[in-house]
Amino acid sequence: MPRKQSPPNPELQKILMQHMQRVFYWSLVPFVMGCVLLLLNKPMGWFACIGAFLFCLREPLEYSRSKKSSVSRFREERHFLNGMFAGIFSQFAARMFDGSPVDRLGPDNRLWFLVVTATLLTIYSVLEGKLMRQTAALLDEPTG
Amino acid sequence: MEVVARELKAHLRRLALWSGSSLAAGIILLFALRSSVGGMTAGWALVNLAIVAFSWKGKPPASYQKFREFLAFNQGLNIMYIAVGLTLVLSTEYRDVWVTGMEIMPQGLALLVLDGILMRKTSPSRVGEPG
Repeated sequence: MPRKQSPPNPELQKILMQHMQRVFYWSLVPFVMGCVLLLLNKPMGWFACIGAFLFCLREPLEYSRSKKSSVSRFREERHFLNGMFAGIFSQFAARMFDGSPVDRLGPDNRLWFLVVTATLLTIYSVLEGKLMRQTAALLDEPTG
Repeated sequence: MEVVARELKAHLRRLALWSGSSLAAGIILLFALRSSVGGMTAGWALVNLAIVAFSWKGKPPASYQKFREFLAFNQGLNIMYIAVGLTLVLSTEYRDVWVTGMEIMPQGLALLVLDGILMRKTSPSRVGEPG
């Protein structure tokens, strides 16, 4: 059976541009938090700042990649990356709470680590949820 | 969606076969060699067997797109299992952590291969969906 390749969708570009703006705006929260934390807990302050930076770094790359991609392909690849993030965070969490010798954070760092991680994950999941809802509307087939 | 439903059943059979082998290997390691890696391997196999049993009775996926997205998410998870396992093996001096890494890696690799086969067999070109 011949492959039916969906063409790139210009609406996807618009949605991604809006998403990129939202990400830049919301990444200010962990960035400011990181700057304040640098005074209280340096490693976790850097962690928050780097997290905010990575938020911003990813989106322009995704935007340029999406120019050649169909909506279904874009969503599939996005889910793949989200799976990787979920994998690394679940392993982090498992290593933190099982009392493993790998966890060298210590009680003070652990608390701030949880605060920073919770902030990053909350922002990420809310923005990602909105993006997925918007792109689902562009699909021929509803995702349910 | 008939192709997807058929390939999903074939995937569940492959997963059951792998999990059954893992369970047997885990029990042997646990009782014969007294290795803690056996307990984790057997535990992981039991979880996979429960997934197979649950999915076997379930309805086939209603949305092809959602099915592909779920598979892509799983592949991301599998790659991270392998990466974390490898990191633990290479970076630690503690035996328990090394054992955990050695247990995670083959399971992650097996799931990556099995899910990869399913992804390939249900690719848009084979199913006739837009890619």
